[in-house]
Amino acid sequence: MIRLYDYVLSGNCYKIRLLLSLLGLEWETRWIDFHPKREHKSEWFLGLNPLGQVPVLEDGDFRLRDAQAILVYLAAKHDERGRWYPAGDPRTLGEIAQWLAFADGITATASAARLHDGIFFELDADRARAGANAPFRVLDEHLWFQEQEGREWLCAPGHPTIADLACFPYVALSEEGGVSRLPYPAIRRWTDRVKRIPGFIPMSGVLVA
Amino acid sequence: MSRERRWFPVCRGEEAVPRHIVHTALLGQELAVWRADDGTVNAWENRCPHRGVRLSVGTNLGDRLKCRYHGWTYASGSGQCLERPAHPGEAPPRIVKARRFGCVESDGYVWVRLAGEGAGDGPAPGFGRGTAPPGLTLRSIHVWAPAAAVADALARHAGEAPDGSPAEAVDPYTVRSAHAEAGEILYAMQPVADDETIIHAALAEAPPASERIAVLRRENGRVCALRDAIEASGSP
Repeated sequence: MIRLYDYVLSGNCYKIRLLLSLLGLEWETRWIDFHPKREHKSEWFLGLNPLGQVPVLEDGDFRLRDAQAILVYLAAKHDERGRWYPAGDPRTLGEIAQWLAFADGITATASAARLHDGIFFELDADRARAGANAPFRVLDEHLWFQEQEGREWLCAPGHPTIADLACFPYVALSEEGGVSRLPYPAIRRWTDRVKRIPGFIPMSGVLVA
Repeated sequence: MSRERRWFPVCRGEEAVPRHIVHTALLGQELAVWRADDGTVNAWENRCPHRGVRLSVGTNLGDRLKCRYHGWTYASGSGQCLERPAHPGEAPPRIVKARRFGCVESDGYVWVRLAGEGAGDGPAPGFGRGTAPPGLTLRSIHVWAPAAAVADALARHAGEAPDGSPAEAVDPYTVRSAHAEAGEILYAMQPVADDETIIHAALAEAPPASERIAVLRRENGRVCALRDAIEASGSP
């Protein structure tokens, strides 16, 4: 049985729930009281993940931390059609890895601003908000040119991959951190497409299309 | 001339895709711009007349727009409220309508004006080239700077004409340049808010199909570089 250590308001946990749902998998949830109890920094949780971050995934006796790593593992292991992480396609794998790393840049900016505004993290929120514009501009430009070449998703295949799921949550939640998506029309069209993937599930703050 | 009575471009027409709602703004007025399945483009105040929620987070149902909050729907064209789910079987009052703005499609863009009827003030919606639409619409670029500063920077830097002549500021919101590589380029400012502008740009002549993407990338790079310079200095 797959077990997910999960926090309900975390975009990084949500992207795992989203992939599990899209793959039609069943899983068991262990809710972590991230706020206000800071259970992710508790001694018992640090034993699971010394970085003190959610999500953590267990599949039988295998344990994995890091949202992007978990997406890779679940797609490689459980996607029988091999579409979410196309293992035999080096170019697409390279592109996916690029966007998985990029997703962490969105987390460091747009998500940080949201943690400040939503649950009072002490950080420079204006700097985080301004910082989000850099990855959002890169993303909007990339998606606009993808559309010009007849592509709807972040990577080249004609279907979404885990790259889209990795980048989606903290983009879709950005307004909770005061980062408007008005300047990013191609991003807004892409988030509509993600929301229309069959099997899509929302989370608090992410509206269905 | 009142800015509210002037037509401004608010998005490329093909970016008002079916079953989508474009979120933009003009002169500080937030807009929900959406295309009905019959092709009609609507530009509405981005605010549900019921409880004020942004309509841009609602749903484009093809012939009506549905508010996210209480599910009230508003008809394409008239803006008339059609349904209020909490009052089944009861026709909505005729007075309940989405607030509409003047909206036309021309030269590959959706043009909006906030006030006025008929021909109104200023140039007709479009790039003012008569019956010849632009050959290629470019990626629109958002800039964190006032429209006047952006137009001024474009007029001074976007020229690079073969004869060395600068670009021409046609009016405070329109710049025309004759570029060595790209030929005639038309720039139209969308004053989003006091310190926020979107540059809409088009090439007068279409490049060969085989060069289309490369030209789009080159011109995108050119305007983005100008954007970065404007934002870095305040006035390049």
